Amino acid sequence: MSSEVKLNVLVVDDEPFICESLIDLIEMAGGKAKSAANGVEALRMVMAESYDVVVTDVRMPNGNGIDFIKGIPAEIKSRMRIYLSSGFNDIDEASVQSLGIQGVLSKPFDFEIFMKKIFEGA
Amino acid sequence: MESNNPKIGEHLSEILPPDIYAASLPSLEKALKGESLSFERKVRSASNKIKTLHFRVGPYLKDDTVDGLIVVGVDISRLKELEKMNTENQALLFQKSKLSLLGEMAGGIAHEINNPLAIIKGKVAVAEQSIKFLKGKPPGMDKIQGNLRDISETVDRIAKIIKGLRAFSRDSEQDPFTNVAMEEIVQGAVNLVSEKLKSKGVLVQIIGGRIDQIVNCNQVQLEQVILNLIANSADAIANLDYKWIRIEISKAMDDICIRVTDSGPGISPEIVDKMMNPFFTTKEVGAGTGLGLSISQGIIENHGGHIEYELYNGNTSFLITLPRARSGRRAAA
Repeated sequence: MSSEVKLNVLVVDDEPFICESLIDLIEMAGGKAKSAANGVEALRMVMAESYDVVVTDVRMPNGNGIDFIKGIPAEIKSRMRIYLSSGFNDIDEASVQSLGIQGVLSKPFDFEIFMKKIFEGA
Repeated sequence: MESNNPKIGEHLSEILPPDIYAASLPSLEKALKGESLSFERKVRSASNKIKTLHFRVGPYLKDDTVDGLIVVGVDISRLKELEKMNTENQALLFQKSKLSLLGEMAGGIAHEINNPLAIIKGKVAVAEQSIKFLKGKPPGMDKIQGNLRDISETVDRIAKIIKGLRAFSRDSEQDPFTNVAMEEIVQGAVNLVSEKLKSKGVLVQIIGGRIDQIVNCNQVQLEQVILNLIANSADAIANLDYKWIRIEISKAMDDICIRVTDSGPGISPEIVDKMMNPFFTTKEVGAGTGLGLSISQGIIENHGGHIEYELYNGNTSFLITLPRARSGRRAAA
């Protein structure tokens, strides 16, 4: 049994295919990942389990990404890195700052950059 | 026509210029038969200006018989000018509302299309990674990998078009304006494409541009405009013997002028008429979106400037005029 600790990632997107491929890619790169289809579900998940990284879409039915991030309790938030994923430039630099997140990943993703951000935070 | 001297006793043919007299004769004859009519004529005034006159001609009746004609001519040149201005303003307004509608649409389209693109790219990436985990290399794998790469590159191409569309959306307009030297903007744009231009054998020359030639602007947007013009020029002159692009920065009164000239011999009039329209392109399918110039025009107008095409010393040239920033240090309040 391996004792190595795998990077634990939560992918939040209402597009099941996006969740699927992101989980596959993260797992193939040696991490583990789960998905939520909306902000409400995602909030429930981060309260129940500890994640290293959260990647959340902005526009979703039943709880958008911004409200989800605002709803995460501060002490949980301080233990993870959070990225917004967006298909449109609806987030500016000031909002990134005020939300206290690491950045925005724009869709369609460049996976080299995506994986670097997720695994190395760079 | 502007004379106030009475011409009593003279024949109309002696008063009116011959061409006007000839053109008016049928109307005058009708009036002599008892008809009233009106018409407009363009005439050259004594000061050699083209004037539009509105004539009303009617019979002068004496004891129920036509004894002569009453002709009243009114100068309606100013009215015509105003009408023309009004039509032009309406066309401009229409063009603006079309662009703003396009902007709203662009935002929606960007969002709706980028999600499916993310799915395609994600699935391709998973397939590519999965192949790396395969033991050994089954026959035909090169072809599969090649096809996956093609799909991924095509997705990037679509994403690029969508990104171009996003420049239409209002979001970028809200970026704060800063004071930047025009030379810095031009140099920035040239730097982005200099290697590509070098490989195509295109010589680029930047002339002028002093540090005090400053515009209050969205730097990224202006760079995009210059980049668009350079890219268009490079494409247009690709097959010429002499390939050069010259960018001149100068100051004229309260404006900063940027002239982008290339070695091309000019643009044909029928293309000039349409080239600022969104989606108009002369490039082959897939090579251009037809949005470059219309986006550029929108950006320049948002900066209170204008962009126009003209022939300059026999070469294709675009002249951008932007208001000069008042203070070199501080952003305009």
